[in-house]
Amino acid sequence: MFWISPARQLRLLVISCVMLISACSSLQKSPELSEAQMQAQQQARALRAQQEGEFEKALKLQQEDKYAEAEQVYTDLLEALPVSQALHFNLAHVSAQQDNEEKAIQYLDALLVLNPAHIQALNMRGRLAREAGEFEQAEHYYRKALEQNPDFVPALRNLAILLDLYRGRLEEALALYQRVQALDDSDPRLKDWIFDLKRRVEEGS
Amino acid sequence: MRLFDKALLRNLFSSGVLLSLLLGLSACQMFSSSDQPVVDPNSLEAIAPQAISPALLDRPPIELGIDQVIVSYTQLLPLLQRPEEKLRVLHRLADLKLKRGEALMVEEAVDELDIAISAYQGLLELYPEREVNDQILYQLAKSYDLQGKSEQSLLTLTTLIESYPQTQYASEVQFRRGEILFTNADYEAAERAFSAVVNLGDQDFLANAHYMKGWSQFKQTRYAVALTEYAQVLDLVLPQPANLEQIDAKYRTMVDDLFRVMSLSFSYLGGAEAVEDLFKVVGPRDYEDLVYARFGEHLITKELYTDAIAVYEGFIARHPLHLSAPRFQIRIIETLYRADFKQDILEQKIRFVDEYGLGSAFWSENQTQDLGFVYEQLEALIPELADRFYILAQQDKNLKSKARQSNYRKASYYYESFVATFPEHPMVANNLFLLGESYFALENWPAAIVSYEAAGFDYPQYEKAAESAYASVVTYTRYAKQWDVLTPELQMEKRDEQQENRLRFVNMHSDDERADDVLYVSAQYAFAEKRYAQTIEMSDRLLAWLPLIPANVRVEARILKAHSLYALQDFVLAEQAYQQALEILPAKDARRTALIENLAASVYQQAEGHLAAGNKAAAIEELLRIAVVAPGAALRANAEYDAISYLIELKQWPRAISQITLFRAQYPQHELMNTLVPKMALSYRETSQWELAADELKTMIALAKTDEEKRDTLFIAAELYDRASNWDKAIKTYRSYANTYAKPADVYMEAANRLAELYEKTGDPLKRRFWLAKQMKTVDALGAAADDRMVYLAASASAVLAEDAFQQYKRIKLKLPLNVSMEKKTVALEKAMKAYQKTASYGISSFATEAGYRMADIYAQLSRDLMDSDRPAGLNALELEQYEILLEEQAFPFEDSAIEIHEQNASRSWNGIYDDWVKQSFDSLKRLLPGRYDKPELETEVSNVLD
Repeated sequence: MFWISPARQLRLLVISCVMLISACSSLQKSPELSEAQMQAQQQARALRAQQEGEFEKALKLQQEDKYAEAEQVYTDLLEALPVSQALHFNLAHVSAQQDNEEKAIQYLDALLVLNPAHIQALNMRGRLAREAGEFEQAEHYYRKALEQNPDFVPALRNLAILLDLYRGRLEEALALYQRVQALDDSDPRLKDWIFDLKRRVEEGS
Repeated sequence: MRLFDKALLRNLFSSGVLLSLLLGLSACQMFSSSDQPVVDPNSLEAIAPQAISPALLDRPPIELGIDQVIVSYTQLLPLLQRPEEKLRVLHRLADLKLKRGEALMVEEAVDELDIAISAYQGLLELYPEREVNDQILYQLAKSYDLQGKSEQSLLTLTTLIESYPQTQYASEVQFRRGEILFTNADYEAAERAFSAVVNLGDQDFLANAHYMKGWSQFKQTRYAVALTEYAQVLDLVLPQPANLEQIDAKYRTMVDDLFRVMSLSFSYLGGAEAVEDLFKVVGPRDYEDLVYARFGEHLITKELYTDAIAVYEGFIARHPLHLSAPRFQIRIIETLYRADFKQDILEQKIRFVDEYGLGSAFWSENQTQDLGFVYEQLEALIPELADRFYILAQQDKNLKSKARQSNYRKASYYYESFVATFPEHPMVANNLFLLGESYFALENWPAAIVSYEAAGFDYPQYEKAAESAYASVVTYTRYAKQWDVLTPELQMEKRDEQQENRLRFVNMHSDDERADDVLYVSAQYAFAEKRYAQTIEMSDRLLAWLPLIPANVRVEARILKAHSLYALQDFVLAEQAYQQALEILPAKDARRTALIENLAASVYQQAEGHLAAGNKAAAIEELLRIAVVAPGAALRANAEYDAISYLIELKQWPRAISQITLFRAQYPQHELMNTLVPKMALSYRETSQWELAADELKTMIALAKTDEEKRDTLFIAAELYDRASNWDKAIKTYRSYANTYAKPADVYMEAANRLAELYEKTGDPLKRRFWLAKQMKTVDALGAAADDRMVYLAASASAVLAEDAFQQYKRIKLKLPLNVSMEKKTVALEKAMKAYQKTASYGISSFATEAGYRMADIYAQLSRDLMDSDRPAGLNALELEQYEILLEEQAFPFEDSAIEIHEQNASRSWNGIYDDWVKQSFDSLKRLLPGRYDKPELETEVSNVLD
């Protein structure tokens, strides 16, 4: 549970009022807005702009490897926008970047509650599970991601690596590598991986 | 008009006065008053019937003016012409003159009856054939009689009856004739005259005729027949039922005389048998008892006591169940008294009680309302007999004598009879008491108890009620000595009865000075029978007794109460009671110690109660309280010991330690002392006083009875020293254990492991490795028998030793000349590899992955060391290149080996093993074989759009 300061509570109240007014306006489709409504709309737009600005700021901090600062900004925003999937996802990222896989997993799990089909989250959740040695869970998340998009290359590739190195299911891995290559041959290493794996499969068989 | 009026005759017979007159007349007629010898009044000659004479007739009052009537009739006579009228007047004149002469004879003693006689004679001469001449003759006989001319009267009467046998005066005429003839001692003629009267059946004369006929027969000494006549009289005059009190007054004198003459007759006929003979002849009569009685009285007046008694006995024999029989028995007793025949009196009294007492045939035969006389006699006789025998028995000093026993038995019989006969009598209580005394003397305890109890409890107003009740208590005590032969059930029944008796005494006679003693005995009994509630109640009553019971009894009462409360498991009150008992118990009383123990036990039981209720804390307080209330009790030590145990169960460790310490000081020789050692050890351990706990265990080792116990205790002691961070003692103790007990192997392994750890901690690597090696050796020896923990420890130890070998290997630098250093390095490598192989051989995953990684790393290290080794100096470029090619050729196989081993280690992830060593192998493989293992996973970028 996140702590919300009194000042922030007041701000959230204002935002809520603005959103309500906005909703009413759209429903009524009134041709003419009152001055108060107009003021509220203006405040809402201003707040949104401010949030987007904060978000941009966090992204920049993250790119600059200022993970802690970025996390703080994301976290503040999350208080105002508790169902924001982007914030959850980015917070998972920034947590992982600070080697706090546990917190990253928490954000991802929360995000998957908000959106079980969040394909990027599923992929990242699989990778974190693999790092923790939870290989079956990792395979599960990858495959969930692929259910959303069977051509989702990151999940395909990560699943192939999992089965190749950590599960010893070489033939399945080979097929996945080959599918990745078919979808995206931008990584030149894929070719060598497929070659080596083919040889090992053949040696194994 | 009849001159001898019937009513007048009846009056004559009933007048007692006339008896003497007639007797005197008779005497005058029979004998001259002057020249005849004096007759003994008791002689037969003197016996005469009650007189019945015309002289005794009631006279009509002299009519005033009778002379004028006579004058009138005399003056009338010459005027009458008709002879019939003249005759009637003459007859009337004769009667009037008789009447006047009769009156003058009585009142003035002037005999003018001759005038009447002349008148009657004149009429007879003048009219000899008149039909009514029987009246003239009757009046003439009367006139003669009035003049005392009995012979002329007899002749006239005889003439009358002969001339007029059917005359209306026949009965009277014959009766008058009989009297004159009897007076003239012509008894046979008199008997005939009276018989004639009897035969005529005139009721007015019948009884008297029988009476006189009997007399006439008596005078002829014909007593038996005379008696039958007398019986006829009684038949006529006595009412039904026979009762002298209700007899017609006119017959009373006659009846009295009748009984007299009957008695004389019986006497002459031989006495009692004659009476019986009479009633055999005449048949049973309801007045027989009167006859017997009068005869008996008659004999007594003659001082013929024996005869009288025989008569009485005769009646009793003839009518044993007759209502009068007891009266005759009493008459016998009275006669014996009168005769002073004292020796027979007792027997007759006994006979009375036997024959007429309660339960006799007589009693059954007769109605209760008719038994008044018997009751009256028994009321006096039974106590008299009872007291007599009782006193006789008491006076007999020979306690064993049969006479004494007999007298007591008789006394008891009569006392009992009295009680039964007079249940409501005021003297019943005393008789019951004396009955109890008699039975007591006879040692008939049950009967004595019944009697004493009845007198003592059923008659509270009886002055000796308390005495009798207490006697019943005493008797029960004597009786109880006989109960040993009874069955247990019967004994119990008897004892209960005795207890009930005691309590009745206490309750009803609480004022008696012995009541408190009896109550105390009752309390003792109740306690002995385990009737504890009763015992308590009685003890309380004793303690509240006023006046106060003696001090020694108070003590006993308090003790009984305390014991009872204890038995009822009311331990709180029992404790109080024991304390109260001890307060007043004499200091030197031998029971003091035991009572103190009981007091302690009461408290102890309170603790038990708390335990049963699951309240151990309260139980502990009670157990420790014994030291306060009964410090000298032997139980105290056990209580405190138990308290310690419960303190430990409740984990009240500091208090347990304190109590154990006190216990040790208080009871150094206590038999359970040694069992406190583990408790103390536990307490110390639970309070983290590890070293003290361990010290206790050391003591336990010495006390241990089995080797196993010693072994286990030693190990625990080592652990405790270990926890106390007393490494020195811990090492010594573990070492002692490990050097002593190789088995069980698992514990040995733990000891060896801990020794290795402690030696590491204390900086003694050699000893550490000694115990590490011991662990491996142990598990190697056990083989498959080693459990997982043991194998783990061995693997762990092996890893340490392998690490040592690895470090040794690592320290060897390859330097020139390479062949020398290489040889050392190779030897070290082999050792390290062997050590890790050993580690891996234990099959413990964590150590196997470590070993795998290490072995791979050893090869990789050697490969790197070779490549990094010093180059020989002085090599030109070509030589140097060739040298490096040579090095590579040497190094590459090691690198291949490293890769191979890392891959094997990494492949453990396929089976889910992914620990740090596996991860490190993956990391190494990324460097050694990047084309296969350096495969970075793809991560999508962060979201750039805020949703």
